[in-house]
Parts: sequence; C-alpha cells; structure tokens
Amino acid sequence: MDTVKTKKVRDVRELSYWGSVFYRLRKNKMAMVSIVVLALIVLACVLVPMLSPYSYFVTNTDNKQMPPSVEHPLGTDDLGRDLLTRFFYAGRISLGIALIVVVLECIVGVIMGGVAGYYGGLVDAAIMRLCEMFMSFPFLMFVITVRALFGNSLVVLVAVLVLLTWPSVARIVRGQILALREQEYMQACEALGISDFRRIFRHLLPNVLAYVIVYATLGMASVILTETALSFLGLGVAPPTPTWGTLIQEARSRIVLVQRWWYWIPPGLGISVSVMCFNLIGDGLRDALDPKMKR
Amino acid sequence: MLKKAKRIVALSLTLLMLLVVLSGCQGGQGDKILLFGTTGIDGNFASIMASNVYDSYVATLIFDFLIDNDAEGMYYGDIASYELSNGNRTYTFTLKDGIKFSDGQPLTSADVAFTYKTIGHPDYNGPRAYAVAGLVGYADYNSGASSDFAGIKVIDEKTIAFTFEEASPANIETFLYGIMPEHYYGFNTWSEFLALNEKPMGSGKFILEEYRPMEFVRLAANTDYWDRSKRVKIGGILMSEVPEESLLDAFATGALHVAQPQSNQDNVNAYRDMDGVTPQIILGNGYTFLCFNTLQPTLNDARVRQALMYGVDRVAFIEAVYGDMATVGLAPISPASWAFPDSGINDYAFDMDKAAALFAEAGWVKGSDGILEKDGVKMSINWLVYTDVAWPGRLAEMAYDSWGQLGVDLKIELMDFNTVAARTMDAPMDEKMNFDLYTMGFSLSIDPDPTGALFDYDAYTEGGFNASGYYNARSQELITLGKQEFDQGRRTEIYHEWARLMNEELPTVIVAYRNEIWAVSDNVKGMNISTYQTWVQNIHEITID
Amino acid sequence: MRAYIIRRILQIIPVFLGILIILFMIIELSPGGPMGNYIDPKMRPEMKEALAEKFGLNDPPVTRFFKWIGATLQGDLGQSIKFLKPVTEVLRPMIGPSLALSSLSLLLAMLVGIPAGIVSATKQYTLADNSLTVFSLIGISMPSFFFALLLLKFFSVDLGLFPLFGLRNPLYNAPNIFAQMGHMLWHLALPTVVLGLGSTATFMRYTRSSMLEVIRSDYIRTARAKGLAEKVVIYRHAFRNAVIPIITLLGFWIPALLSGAVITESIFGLPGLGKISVEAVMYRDYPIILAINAMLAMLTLLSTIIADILYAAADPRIKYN
Repeated sequence: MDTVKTKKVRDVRELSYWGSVFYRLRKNKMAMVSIVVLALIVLACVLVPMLSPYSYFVTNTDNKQMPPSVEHPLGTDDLGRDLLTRFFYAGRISLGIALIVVVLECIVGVIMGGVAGYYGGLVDAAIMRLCEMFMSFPFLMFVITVRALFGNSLVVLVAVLVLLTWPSVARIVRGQILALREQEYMQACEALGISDFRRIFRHLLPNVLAYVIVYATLGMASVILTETALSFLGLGVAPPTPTWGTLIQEARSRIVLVQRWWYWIPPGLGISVSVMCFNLIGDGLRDALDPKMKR
Repeated sequence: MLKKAKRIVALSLTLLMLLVVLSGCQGGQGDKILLFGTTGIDGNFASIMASNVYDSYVATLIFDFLIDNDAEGMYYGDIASYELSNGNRTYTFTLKDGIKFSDGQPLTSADVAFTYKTIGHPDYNGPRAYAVAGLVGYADYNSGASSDFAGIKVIDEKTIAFTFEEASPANIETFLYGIMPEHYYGFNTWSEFLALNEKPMGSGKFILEEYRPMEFVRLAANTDYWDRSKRVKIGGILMSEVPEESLLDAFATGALHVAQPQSNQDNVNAYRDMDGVTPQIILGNGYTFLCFNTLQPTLNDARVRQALMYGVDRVAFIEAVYGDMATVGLAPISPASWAFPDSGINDYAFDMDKAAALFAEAGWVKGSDGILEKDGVKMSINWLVYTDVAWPGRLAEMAYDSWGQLGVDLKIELMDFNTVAARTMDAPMDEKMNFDLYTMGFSLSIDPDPTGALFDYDAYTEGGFNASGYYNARSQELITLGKQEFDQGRRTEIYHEWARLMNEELPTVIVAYRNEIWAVSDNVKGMNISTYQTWVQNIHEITID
Repeated sequence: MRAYIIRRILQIIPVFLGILIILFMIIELSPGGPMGNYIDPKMRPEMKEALAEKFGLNDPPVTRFFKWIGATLQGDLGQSIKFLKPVTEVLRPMIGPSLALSSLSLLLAMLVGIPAGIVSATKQYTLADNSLTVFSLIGISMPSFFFALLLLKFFSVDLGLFPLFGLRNPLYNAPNIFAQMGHMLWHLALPTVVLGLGSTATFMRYTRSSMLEVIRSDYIRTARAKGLAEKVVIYRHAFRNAVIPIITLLGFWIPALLSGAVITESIFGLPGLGKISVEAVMYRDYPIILAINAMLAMLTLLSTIIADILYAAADPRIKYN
C-alpha cells in the first residue's frame, strides 16, 4: 500500500505542467462527469440532424403539436416540425455560437490585456479606459444598432457578443500579468536580461493561460445564457434556424408550460445541463490549474 | 368527541354570522371595483394626447364626447346633437342641457372650441393633428399666423359649428376626442398643459384617483355624473399592468375581471375551460397584411405576387397560429363593414401547381442552383420580420419552406417593429428599395376610406403609409370618389370595385382577419364588446356580483 | 495612494465623455426613430415632420449632442418623447423599486453565498462541497425567465403563496407603514430569488476560492499550529482575510443588477429601470435612453474605481504608479 502511494506522488512530480493539471482534474469526479456528458451532447448534436429523416425547417401543419411518439420521439411543434431534429440542430447552433464567441473574445482579450499589463504606462491606461467604455455600453441598444446596420446573420451576432465580452478577459489577463511581474522570478528574469519574447511566451503566458481557460469555460456558459436572453427580447437568431434560446421561448405560454412539456423540457435541459457542465469543468480546471491548491 | 362537535357548530355559526354581516356590507355596487388587466399605460390621459389603446380607455372613461357609435358602427350625437349643412361641409353641434365637469363647472361650447383649438395649436405635440387639419383655417392657426381658428365658430353657449375645407363622410371622425374643460386645461405655455396630462379632469363617468406609472391606474365612479341614466353602477375601476405570461393565472386566481389576451386557440380553449370566466370572441376591426415592394424587378409583376400567395398555405398558417381566432384575409376592408364585398374576391387558396404555373407564365425559370431566374435576375427576396409579436416569424417560416420548393430564395431578417417602420414606410425615397417584403398589423377606423393608407399612391412618400410603391390610376380614382360620395349605396359600389381590383393586383396582401378574445369574469354582468364598441363605451351597464 | 485615487477620479472625465460620445453615436446610427411609432395613415408626412421638429429631432446630431450635454450639466435631462414629461419625472418612480429589488438580491446573495462558500471551502471535495456547488449552479444554469416562470408556476399558481405580478395590490389598505413594507416585500420575494440566485452562486464560488487560498497560507498554518480551535481559525482569521476580495465585488454588482433586471421585471410586472429602458429602446425615446445609460455608465465607472482602490488597499503587493 505504502509503496503505491509514494510512487503516485513521484509520478505527479515527474509530469509536465499540463500533465499534472490533467492528473488533478481527473481526480475531480464532477468535472470528469461533466466532460463526458458534454461530449455526448456535442456528439448527438452533430449526428442526430445528419441521421434524422426530418428537416429542421420543413413544415407539416397536418401533424402539428403532436405529443412524443415513435416517429417523433420529442413530438412536433406548432408548424408540425420534428422537435427532436430541431432540438439537436439548435444545439449545434447554440454551442457553435458559444464556442466561436469564446475563442474570439479570448484571443482579443489576451492580446489587449497582455499588451496593457506587460507594457503598462500610457498603453495600459489607454487600453483599460477602452475596456471601461465597452463595459459601460448600453447592451440592448448596441445589439439593435449593430444588427440593424450589418444585418442579422450569425456572424454579426457573434461579433456583437465578442465586442461586448472581450474587456472582461483583458482585465483578467492584465491583472494577472501585473501580479506576475511583481513576483521574484520575473524580477530575476529581468535581472538576467532574458528577452521580452521569451519572458512573455515562456513565463507569463502559461501562467495567464490557466486563468483564460477557466474564464473561457465559464464564458461558454454565459454566452449560451446570453443568447437565450437575446431570444427572449426578440433579438436572437432568425427563423427557421432554431437555437436552444428560441426553442425555450415556448415555455412563456403558461398553457404550453402545463400542457406541452415536450416543447420546453428538452431545450430547458439542453441549456441547463450544458451550462452546468461548463461551469463544473471551469471550477475543476480552476482548482486543477492553481498550483497553490495542491495539498 | 362531543366537545369537538360543539366547537365546530359554534365556529360555523360565527362564520355564518360573519358572512351575513359581510354580504350586508356589499349589498350595493358602490364598493365594487372592476379589475382590468392592461399591458402598457403611458399616462397620456388628456383626451387629445392619448395614443395607445389603454390610455384611450382611460380618456374615454374620464371625458365625454360629442359623438359616439352604436354596435353597427353608426355614429350618433352623444352629449350633443348635430346637423350637416353648407354642402355637407359644416357640422353644427347643439350641446345637451346640464352637462358639467366633475368639479361642478358647466361644459359649454367654449370648452368644445378649446379642445379642438388645442389640437390645432402651434405647440401641440400629440398624435392627433390630422383630426383638425381638414378644418377651414387650420394652416393659419397652426402656423401662428392667425389667433383665430376660422373653421371653429362658437355660436352661443350651447352651439358650435365646424366647417371643413372639403365635404366627406369620413369627416365625422374628427369629433372622437373628449371635451376638456378650458378653466382647468387653459394654458400659457405648452408645458403647463403637459403638466396636467397625467391628472385628467373631464365630465365623464369616472374620476382619476391614482396613477402609478408601469403599475396601475385607479378610477373612481363620478357619483355626480350629469346624465343620471348613464351613471355607472360600480364603484370604480382598477387597471393593472399584468405580464402576458401571468394573465391566465390572474383570472384563475380571481385577480382580474376583464382583459384581452392574445388571440390564439390555446388561449380561447383555456378561458373556455376555466370556471367562472367566459371568453367573448369578436371580430377585430383590422387585418394583418403582407406588403410587396412592387418596384423591385422581382416583384413588379402581379403574376409573381399571385404566385407567391398561392405558394403559401395561409389556411394552415392561421390554423397553426390563431386556430379559430382568425380567418383568411380577402380585401382591405373589414368583413364587419358595410363596404366589404361579399363576392368576386379570390382567396388564393394554397396551390403549388398554380403557383409554379404563374411563375412560368411570368417568365421565371429555375436555374442550375434551383432558384428562379429571369433576365439574369434571381428570385432572391428579403422579408423584414419584427419580433415584438410571433405571427410574422411564423408566416415567414412557412413561406421559407414552401417558397423554397418553388425556387424562391427567401432571407428572413429579424428586427424590432421600429426598425421595420424605418426601413419601409419611413425610409427616405432613395432608400425605399432596401426591402422586398414586410408584414404588419393594421387597425381600421369605422369609416372605410383608405386615403393615406397602404394602397394610396399619394402615401408613397418618406413617412407615408404606402411602402409598396404601387400605382394604379383606377385605384386612385376610386379612392377619391369614395371619400366624396355621401350616398351609401353608391359608396358601397365604389369600395367593392376597389377591393376587387386590389385583390387582383395584390400590391399588398391581406393575410388574416383576427378575432379578439376578451376574457370576462362571470361575476361581471352587462359587458358588451363588439367590433365597433369597446368595453368602456357601455361601462354604465356593468354590474359585478 | 492619494495621488493614485485623484488620478483615477480625474480619468473618469475623458472616459465618461468618450462613453457619452459613443452612446450618442450608437443612438444616431440605430435604425428607426421616435417617429416610427406614429404609424397612422391619417397622419400625413408633413405632420410627422412638424412633430419631429417640436421634439428637436431635426437638428444635426452634433448640435443635439452639445445641446444635450449643456442641458444635462444644468440638471435638465430633457423631455421624454413617449411619456411627454421630463425624463427625471419618468425615472424617479422607477429608481425606488429598482434599488429595492437589486439590494434585496444582493443581500440574499451575500447571506446565502458567503456562508455556503465557506462551508464549501472548508470541506473541499466532500459531499457538502459537491452538493452546494451543484445547487448553486442549478440557479445560474437556467435562463432567468425560465426559472422565473417555473417559480411562478409552483409558488404562485399551484401553492398560492406569492402574488403573480406587481409591486403591490393597490386595493390593499395597509394599517401602518410596516404592514405596507411587508406587503411589498412579499411581492418582491420571488423576483429577488430570481435576480439574486445568479449572484448567490457567484458569491459562493468567489468565497470558496478566496477561502481556499487563505486557508493554505502560512499564517493560518501557524494559527493551527498554535493549537487554536478550527472554528476560531476559520471564522476569526481566515474569513476576515478572505472577505476582502469579495467586498470589492460588491461595487460591480449594483450597476450590473440594475441593468440586469430587465427580464425579471418584465416577467413579474414590476416597475423599474430595466423595464423602462427596454421600452425606451423599442420606442427610440432618445432622452430616456441617454439618461439611463449615462447614469449606469457613471455608476459602473465609479464602482470600477472603488473596486480598484479597495483592491490596492487590501493587497499591498500591488503597486500603482
């Protein structure tokens, strides 16, 4: 028993940074379950619309508001469309939007925050003031304006969300870099005359990346919810393309809520479960990435 | 055991006594409050300022009107009788005796003149300028060139005459604004007038008690109303803002007596099934429409527009969105109106073959990508859909499917209502080509005159109501003839011909005539709502159990 | 430190001006306008034009901008186009309910979130930690309107415990001010839960990670080594230090809650800034849009600065120059 334990500890020490992160993450059961659940959801969203005999937009009003049956496992909607197909197709769109938005906002945020934090001074002040301006934007008015000016394609929706969210990433990255710069080893780097490039890519970025990954995971969750809120306000994705956000709007009718559960339970679960998974993975990653939390 | 039984008997007796006492208290109607559900009160209660429907209800309850209409949509003198003279250009009103405002002051023809002059006042910033714009002398008075409004003449304390530039049966609708007391609303600066906007005072059946923005309006019965036969029996009205999502449950829990839920089959079924509530279903005075930009090369052929109409299943759309709560639209005139043509109207019943044939006849053939093409132009059209309500999106989704099969490349653009208006009717003339289709709802007044509306080429301007750009000489001629004709029979003929012409040419399609659902608690008696009469017009007949 | 504070406060001026300019540009570029609400075929274009003139909409944007700035500096926020009364009068009755709702939610978030975070941190990876995490996540994992609808269905419709809508029942005659306050609190209970739950989860997670960090620090180890009781260590020593970063969060929260209440307010039929700002946007009631957003932007800026200063005060390692 004893030897096994010692061996394991040594293993962790021998692992690389990311290896040890993954090792710690694997110990977090909830995060691991979340990863598996999410992977299944993504897989289904990719496969089901491909395999389904129905299209997400072809209407058939003779067949409307059907409760779940063998042909339509999740029933049909007001226009007689198969809700199973629409649900998984919507998942593709919702998760796809979230992924693209988060990747882009992190890229913009890391660059801006990194520049601000590393160079400091006037550059820092300018970028931070820009962040504050973006964070103080009237969200709704901004969405309406941008979409009216540039159309309401998915691209524009993604762009709007990126524009409004990058400052959070930039602030986190800048804060982290500021804190790291004060640390002894960075001061040592400076004293040793190590180049800017090496300092940024070898020492600063890996440390910052941990925080960004955590933020990105949590960001996925928040983009999914923002898309739902936009749909609530009628500013979501244009029909007939479904998203989880537009599908769940059906629950606003108390009659649907009570009588047609198959309209809203799937998108409700889709949103809640995937948001929860992203949050749990984010928490797990935060714990796993923070070396101080090693016990 | 015995002790327990005794206690129960004692308790029930007490309760019974309590009930007797309580019911004794509530014997009269004077303390009964009608609970009405609204969705948006703006607080523009001065009769000439009210623009949204709930503000108008409040204004109608607080003010008295020169004319009113019956259930058939026929106007009659209300607090005054009137005569038409001077080649049908002059209306002379004689006020009834004993009319007084709720502060006890008498209502005279000076107050009537004040009300209408205020609409024409240079500083007036309400939405009703058109009501007096047809009167003689409007331009001079409105520009400030003259301090006298020539078309409004006070003859004596009870008599007043209004003279219009042109005679038209539709002129009567000028007199639909409540009479405001000059001694209360009289103003030196316009902001003085606006300061009283939220504190209305009139001669009507109710008095405003309390107004809380975005919460409620509380009205108390005017127990001293001048016309004893029309004094209201109930004690007051509470109009609360209720979120659409909770309307149904508000009825179920007794928190509401009357409201107008959205028109769909789900709602009507739910209210029919609910104990203690009976829905009243009436034909709404209006329609929903789909406007084609007829100046676009894709849509300038009537056959293409007809093909598009044959190619979307409006019956199925109505079934899906409204259920029994709407019927297929036919003509730009309400089926409730005397002007509605009963025959000779094509309903464009869903027929994909006919649609395909019409496209072919118009010279549109499918290209290699499956999209219709003619002279190098692709049948690629956009549809501006506003999301404030659900139906435009639903119709567009159905069209996306069936038109797609016909080879039409439809792009649905989502926006809010204001943006649709800006890109269609309110667009400057050089930006009128940025849309192909848009949908909207339209409510009619009682008179069927379509001047300035969807089909009137004169309204094809920046800010005008006609965004289709459609011109037809005969149509313009008929519109002019219709508003000048006083003979009902001949006027009917004119509108029948016009409706058939529009139904053939389809610059704008009438999508559906919607029914209104009015949920009314069974406790409320005497609530008579009809296409032409709102619940506030017969408020004095209402009692509450 | 003082120099830093003064500098930050001075920096507000250009940033705020920048925000106002961008805000004005967004409004200027946005499609439609107040005249789009006058959809009435009887209203001829020249009448619309005359109205636009009266509302001052025909001036060039630059003129309007400076007019607006000038008037605002004199405390005049202009006239609402929709409600036809001064903007201050439109907003005044909305501020009270909005503040009440957001502070109640904040209170709920702190009272539940912080203790839960402590428990979760001191018992990391236990059943208690996991179940608290999952429970807190359920709240933020649901779209708020959906959560609100479920709460309404269950507590108001099925159980009849809470009112369905509104801030008060106008027909309720309160015997005294406390009864009236209780009456309104009862109306605000469900909205508070809906709005507060997201914040509760956030507070819990912040507390948790902050506590975890503190618990592992040297001085706590020393305290433990001295033989102090675990409770004393956690609540007297660790918590005090862990709570500092949480306090800095508060600053951000009030503006976020004020503007984030749109959906809650509209589902529960409450008056408030969120609801009126959506109405103003849909109506293009420019003076109201400008006033609310300028106010929120100012609040956000001030809270950012307060947070930064608190942070600097709490962590001497961070240097500001």
